[in-house]
Amino acid sequence: MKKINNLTVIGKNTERLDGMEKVNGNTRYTDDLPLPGMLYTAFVASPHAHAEIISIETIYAEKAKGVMGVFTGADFPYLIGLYLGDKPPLAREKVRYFGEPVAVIVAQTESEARRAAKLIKVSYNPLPIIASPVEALKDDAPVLHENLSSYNHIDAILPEPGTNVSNRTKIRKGNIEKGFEESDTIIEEHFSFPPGDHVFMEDRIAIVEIRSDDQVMIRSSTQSPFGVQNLMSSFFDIPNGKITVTAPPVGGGFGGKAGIQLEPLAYLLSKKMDGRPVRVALTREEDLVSAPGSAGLQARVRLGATKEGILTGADILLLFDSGGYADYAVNVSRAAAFASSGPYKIDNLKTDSLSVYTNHPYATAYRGFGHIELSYAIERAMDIMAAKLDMDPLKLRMINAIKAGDSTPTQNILDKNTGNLKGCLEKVSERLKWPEGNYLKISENIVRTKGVACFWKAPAIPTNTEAGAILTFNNDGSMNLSTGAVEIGQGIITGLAQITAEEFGVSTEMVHVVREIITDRSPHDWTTAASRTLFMVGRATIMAAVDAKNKIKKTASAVLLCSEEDLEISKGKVFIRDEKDKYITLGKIVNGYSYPNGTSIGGPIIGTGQYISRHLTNVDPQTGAGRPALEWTMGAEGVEVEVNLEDGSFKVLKAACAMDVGRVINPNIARGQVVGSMAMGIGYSTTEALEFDKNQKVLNGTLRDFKIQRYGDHPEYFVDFLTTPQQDGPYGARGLGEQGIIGIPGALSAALSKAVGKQLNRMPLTPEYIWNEGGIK
Amino acid sequence: MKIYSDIQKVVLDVNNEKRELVIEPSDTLLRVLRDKLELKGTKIGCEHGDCGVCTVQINGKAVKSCLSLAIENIESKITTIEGIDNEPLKKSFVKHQGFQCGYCTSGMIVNADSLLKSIDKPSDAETRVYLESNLCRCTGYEGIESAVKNTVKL
Amino acid sequence: MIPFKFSYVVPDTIEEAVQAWNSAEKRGVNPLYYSGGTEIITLCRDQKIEPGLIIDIKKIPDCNTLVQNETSTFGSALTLNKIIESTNIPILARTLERIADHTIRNKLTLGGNIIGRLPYREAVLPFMVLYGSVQIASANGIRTENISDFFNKRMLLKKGELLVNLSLKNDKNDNWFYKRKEKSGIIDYPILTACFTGKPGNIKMALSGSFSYPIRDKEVEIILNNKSLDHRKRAAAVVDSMNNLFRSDFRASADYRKHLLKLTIKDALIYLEKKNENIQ
Repeated sequence: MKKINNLTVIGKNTERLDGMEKVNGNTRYTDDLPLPGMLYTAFVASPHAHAEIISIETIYAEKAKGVMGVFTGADFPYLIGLYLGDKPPLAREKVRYFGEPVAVIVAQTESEARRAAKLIKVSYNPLPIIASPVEALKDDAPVLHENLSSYNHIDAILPEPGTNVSNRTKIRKGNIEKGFEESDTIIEEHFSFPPGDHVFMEDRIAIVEIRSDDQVMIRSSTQSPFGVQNLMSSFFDIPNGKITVTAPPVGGGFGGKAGIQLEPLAYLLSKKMDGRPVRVALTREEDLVSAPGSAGLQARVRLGATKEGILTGADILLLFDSGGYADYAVNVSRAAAFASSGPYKIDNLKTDSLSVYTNHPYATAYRGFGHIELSYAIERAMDIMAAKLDMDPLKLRMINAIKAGDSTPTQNILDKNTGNLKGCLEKVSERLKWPEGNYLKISENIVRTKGVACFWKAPAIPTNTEAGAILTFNNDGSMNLSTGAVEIGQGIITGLAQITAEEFGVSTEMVHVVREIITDRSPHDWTTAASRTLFMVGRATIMAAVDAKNKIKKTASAVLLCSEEDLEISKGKVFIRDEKDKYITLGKIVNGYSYPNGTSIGGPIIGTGQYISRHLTNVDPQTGAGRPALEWTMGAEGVEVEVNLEDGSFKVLKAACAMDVGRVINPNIARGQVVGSMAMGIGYSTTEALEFDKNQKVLNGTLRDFKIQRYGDHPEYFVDFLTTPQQDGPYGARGLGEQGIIGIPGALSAALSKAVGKQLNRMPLTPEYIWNEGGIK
Repeated sequence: MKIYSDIQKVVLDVNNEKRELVIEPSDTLLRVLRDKLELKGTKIGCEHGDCGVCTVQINGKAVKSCLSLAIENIESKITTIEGIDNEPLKKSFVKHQGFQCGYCTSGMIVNADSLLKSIDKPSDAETRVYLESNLCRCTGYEGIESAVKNTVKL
Repeated sequence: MIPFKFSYVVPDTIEEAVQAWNSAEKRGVNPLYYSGGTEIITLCRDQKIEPGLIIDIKKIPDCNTLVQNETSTFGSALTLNKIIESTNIPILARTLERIADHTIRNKLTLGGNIIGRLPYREAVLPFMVLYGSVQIASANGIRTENISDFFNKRMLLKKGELLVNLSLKNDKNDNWFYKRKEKSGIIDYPILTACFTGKPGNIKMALSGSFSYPIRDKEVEIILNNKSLDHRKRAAAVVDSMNNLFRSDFRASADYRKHLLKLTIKDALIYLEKKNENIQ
């Protein structure tokens, strides 16, 4: 790694490499490149949340114009799931959520497919419905997956057959009874919110064809090209190498395009169509409801503290509403357990975090990966504790802020790479002018209040999470960087270009980053998610750069007749450090060097780099002890709101976030990530909730009725980065893509609770709810 | 009275080019632009009028092409993102972080361009009225606000 | 996208439009009048309706009237933005500019909002409180109806009748008050839209969002103008008189809608009284 103090590109606001392309509408997303002979699909979805499928009449659809095939669950006897194989590609025998796909039409055109879908008649026998995790856990609750005991699953996941529990993660740290005995004050409260959705602007889509030599060619809006390859291989018993996945730039992922989505069904349909390319694309309504979103939560926190405000123990129950299928929820709930204390020193911690089946649309990975849920619960509990102790809620957090030397829920001791949480709280306090008070009466009906919360997150990754990088060179001395990182809007290709440019002492104009990830030529990479991409792919990139430089120097040393140690590479040249006039222009050496008489040596320089997560371990199934966390990015957030107590309506005036990221590679891009995630957090807390009728049918399954933030809703944003270095991060950097969303529900709930003088323990925080709880009646 | 009973040969004026093509009266403008004219810059996001990624200009006014029929635009000047020549606006979007994943960007720029062409120095309120027609999930709108305001300053 | 086919005609006159409708209806072709088309295209996309013939009325001059005098007339094919930009009637502009969003308002028309399928029909409210009337065309010719007689939950058009334009009486001396509330953000269907015009003692009120259809009720207005009750009591009395009509759905409960209406009526009464005092 280069010396850290003379950086020329890292830390600068390099303009995005894909900027001009995007503002001219030239980026080719998955649906922009149709394949010749492509076939189209349309779905039939269940109008029931829980029902037996009695019959599906397909005969009229099969005869309809342009229809190539009509398929139901009976055609595809597979059970698929990344961690727990519980879901057929189309519903088989019964449906477990409103919107579950029961049939699919393949036709020559999309119109013909949609026409034919209307001709399918399905008859159902409705079954008793489970509307929440608490209901699902009752003794007399219907068991949604009767065959849970026979499902394949990874070892780390522990489903409980005969119940609706797909996984239970336990944290048993210290001694909880002792913890509560040592407390002067104990609070206990319940919290909840319903499922939501990612609402990326590009709906999910996958196009699959099978070549005549049986090579499965997948093109998909995915964060996980290699993940798709792996999972397809294991689901359908195809060797990895016979599956090629292409990941073009993605129109927003937020976790919803990680793992596996439409690819298995698209493959099965292409197989039925003799390998012809089949485009499986969701309408917005299907993406909101039929395809997975974010989990709902029911939680109970019991928290004990001394009268000085030192936390002594926490007993936490997190019930994740995973919906009809487990998908990622088994791991999301697990990751939540590992961080369930929030970024606070709690030596006695008992957590049970369950992923629970219900008859709701199912959940997948979502920005924050369980950390919004755990954070909401613990941050609300902290505020309630602060109120009971009659203590400033910010002070309570300061007192208990976790630091290097303290232990995490999985009993790791935090090392010197640990961020400065107190510093983050101080910054947020400064931005929101917290010392001036967190409650101000503006008029008879209007108050202004503030709330804060802390957050932390480590990437929730397998112990063998890997990344790679390849550098090749062009004859003008510029270089091509190929990694497995997908550009989903987070700016990764620009960040990696900056790292590469810094290594070579050039501008990013000399670095061309490969834009489409293709599994047969891009280096293997776990998945673009978990806020680990810059960290891991960044490390691999640096290694590839160093490797390339070493190889250049090897050839150059022969030409310049010196030792390799005497050489440096910068500004497009390799030169002798103390005799700068003895140099070779990179373009003349990177693909082989020719002496004046024609003799040539060397050859194309190819730099390679790799990274694998270091020292991660599995955890003990009884106590949760282990090391699943690579690095923790932590920080604080706060909001200021203005509330009209007459009707509960409110406006978020300010939102502040201070996060310790080690180093900022690109300040504008980093800010954009944090602001975007805060905006998502505001929506998550206030409007983004699926609404159900008493039969758990979704009432707001269109973009007209499921609301996200609009232009003009945005508050004044404050973003500050602290820089306690991550010693093993690229240039000392840590991940930051998700963290900004995590503390917002807690901070906003705190501010609004302050306004009405009553603890608001549910979301979404709508004006009606606020007014009901404490408005002027 | 003009009658279009069936599949039609029509001429559409798109980005200052007269394009001859064959359409059904029931074809939406969005699908005709993407599938028949292969102008992929205009995106599909909801086909319900809610998200704005399909926004084009009809005679300079922003219109959601998913809710417009190709056939009702035979006499109009249609401008897609490919035909927006507002370089200062585009450069401002790049400089001021007006996008991240880029999927909403075509529609956002087409609408912002129509704003700047209609109102000389739009106020915050006027900017809001126009741009609240377009959803963005990535930026939180801060970068978009900067991009548009900084274009106005020039 | 619309997954089926239909024919499309562009009449130049009202007569052509009505004739096209009737002849298509006779042939069992299922015709629909079309102006902005935003709702029709959405319903076609979802295959909730299946017209065989679309009759685009946007070229008919009478449907594009825009005359503003003591009586102002607005063609049904005018887009909401066109009216907002051109009108000198503030309550009309304020009501229209909160419907949908700006881009949609470049296409959504006055007629489309009022006689479409969505129950809110907010554009009719200013006409309700400003002595509105409508011009209707049918096979029997053109006639004018008063809105007070011709609107009951919806415009009482018969099949095949074409809404040509709407008129209202613009009394510049009259004050007005407008309020709209949504569940959370402003781009949404309303849970309350209220238009008030007039002087204290003679205040007119038209509401949408609170119920499943727009309402202007003269009996309710008697309570509204009952000076023997203070503002709060009057508001409560008005709401009580409509108690069973309030809508409950995922946007808002009936109770919350009642509460918002009470607040709004109180605010409207206070405002209109003050304005009236300022004039005097």
